[in-house]
Amino acid sequence: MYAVLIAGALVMMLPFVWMVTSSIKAPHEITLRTIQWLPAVPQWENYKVAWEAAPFDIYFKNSFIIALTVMGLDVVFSALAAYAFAKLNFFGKNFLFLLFLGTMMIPGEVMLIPNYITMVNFGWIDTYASLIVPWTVSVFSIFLLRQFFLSIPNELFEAAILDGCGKFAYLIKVMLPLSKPALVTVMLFKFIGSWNSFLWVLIMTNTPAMRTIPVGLTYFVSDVGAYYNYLMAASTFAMAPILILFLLLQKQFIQGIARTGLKG
Amino acid sequence: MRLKKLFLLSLVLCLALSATALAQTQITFWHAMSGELGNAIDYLTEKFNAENPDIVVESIYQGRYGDLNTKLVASLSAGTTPTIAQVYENWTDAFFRHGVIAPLSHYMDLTEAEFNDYIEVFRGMNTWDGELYTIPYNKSNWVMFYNADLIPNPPETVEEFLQIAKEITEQTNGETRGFGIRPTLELFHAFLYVNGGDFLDADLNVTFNSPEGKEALELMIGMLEDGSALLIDGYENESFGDEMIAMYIGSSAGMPHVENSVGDKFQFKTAPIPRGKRPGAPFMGTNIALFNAATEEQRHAAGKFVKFLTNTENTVYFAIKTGYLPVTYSGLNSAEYQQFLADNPHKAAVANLDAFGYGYWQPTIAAWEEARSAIGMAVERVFLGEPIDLVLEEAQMMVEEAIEDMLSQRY
Repeated sequence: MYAVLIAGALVMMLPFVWMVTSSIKAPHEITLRTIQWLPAVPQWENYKVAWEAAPFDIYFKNSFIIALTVMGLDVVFSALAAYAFAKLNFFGKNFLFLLFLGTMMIPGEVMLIPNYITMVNFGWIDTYASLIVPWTVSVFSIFLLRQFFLSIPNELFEAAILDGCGKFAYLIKVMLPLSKPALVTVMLFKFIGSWNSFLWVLIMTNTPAMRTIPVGLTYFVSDVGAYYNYLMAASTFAMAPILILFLLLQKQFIQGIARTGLKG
Repeated sequence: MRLKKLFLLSLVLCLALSATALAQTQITFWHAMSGELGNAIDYLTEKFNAENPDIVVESIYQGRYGDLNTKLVASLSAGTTPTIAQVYENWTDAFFRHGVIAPLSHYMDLTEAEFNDYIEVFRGMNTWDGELYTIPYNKSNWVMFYNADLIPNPPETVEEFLQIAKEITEQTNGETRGFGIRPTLELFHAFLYVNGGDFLDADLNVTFNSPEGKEALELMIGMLEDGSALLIDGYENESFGDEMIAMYIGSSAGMPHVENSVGDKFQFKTAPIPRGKRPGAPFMGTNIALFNAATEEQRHAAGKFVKFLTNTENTVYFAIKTGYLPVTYSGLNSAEYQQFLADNPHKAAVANLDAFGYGYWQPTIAAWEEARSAIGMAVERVFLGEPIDLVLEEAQMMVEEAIEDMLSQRY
């Protein structure tokens, strides 16, 4: 059993190990036909070159501001909406929920240009507003939280109401503490999604001062070739924050996936 | 009294400042150049701004070419276009058909000598309605890269090329194949053209579904079958640097990447694409277009900036820094550029003067975006083993439909 799991873990880790070792290789070592795990001489300066190829200090600052704000606002709005869909009764509830789900079927690319025009009309181009506000409500987050909330027995709700607890207080005092794994899952998904967002950021901004890390990663790739060693170095420092966040929240994350029935 | 003086002084200062602010013309230049290219364009922009205090140019990187195109289309629908942008010819054609670009050369005060200094092939790629609408900027050509340790004399004709490719594979027992084939539209075009064919004729009739087209594809398939070529995916320079292939045909713009992956493993050089029934040198790369929304002042400022970017000194600077070609004859013939070629013999074929005599390029029509993906798909299908006749027939229908759509304004 453990042997299988360890083998699985190794297979999953391989791309990451390869990324990190490639990040310290010399250019001609990257595409060798025979597998070479470690570079002859570690090229640590790849990290320096990669860091200086684009204004990554600004990009990191922006990525953090945007991803953290989006994550925070999204979890608040999603929890409220999911609570309404899961536990409250109101006219047209199921229809509205279907409508919400329906929007998940429309590919984002289709809406890119209409959304751009909206942002231009709002005067939000090249501001944090265009990078944050449209992403603070996510149907996927609402769906995931609703499924989790549904699994919390209604008896708890009735007992709390009988004891004089308001509906909003019940959400804050009972539902949310019980739903930590799902909340963490939603937050992680949202953070990663926002952290990796590329086309939206590129289209909505015009100055390096407003851009984020994925825009910086394109500096290393062109139509005629790629600087893989620098790209891997940049990818390594670009994904470090996500990795750290995941390690910190790993336990809740796994529970969240397992208990909402989302695992494959 | 002192207060009054101070007041007057500040008033004068304010006026002076607002006067310069008013006199300054702001223009934006959207491009898809990063890395070495990005550094070069940033340097040139700063230099221009320093020399022209009345103009402020902002050069903005907008991602790769596909991203830049998306962004331009979005900005056109929202009325937020830049003053000028880097464009491919088929984008220009779409913009031209929609009437959203202005002829940039009108705002450049070009003398006849300056106009004629732009290399003829590049002028051809940038002419709409008999006018030089856009200005060539980062132009490249396709050449043959070859491993000079294995191949002392590069093939000049297709027959020699087939012969050498076969010999290399035999000599190395298949360790190194003679040629690398990445199934792309560009490679198909290269063999199609030297075989006397092309994609479209002057009246936009499809001509690739022809004996010339079939022979070009059969030639490549034949090389795979007898082992003299290797089918590759990914960038050609990687297999080349790894000595899996001894020759490939690719863009001169990839030069820095080839240098990187070859390292000091072997000597490599460049040669013209071998000639068949006729010689042929494909030219590619982008140009600079001026958008209609610009004011009269901005148009003239943009003209001045583009003239500066393509003057002899700066086109040579850009070419040396990036591996693209100078866009003018004076740049090509300048002592500095000739010295650069002499110092870097492996780049000689890139700026081979003869090539300009038989240069060709992909169709510059708006429908090309759709047509090229249909042809590109066809080439891939042929390499997956589908019958050439059928695939070319289907591609012809798709291309004809795209062109019809364009001509009937439904584009």
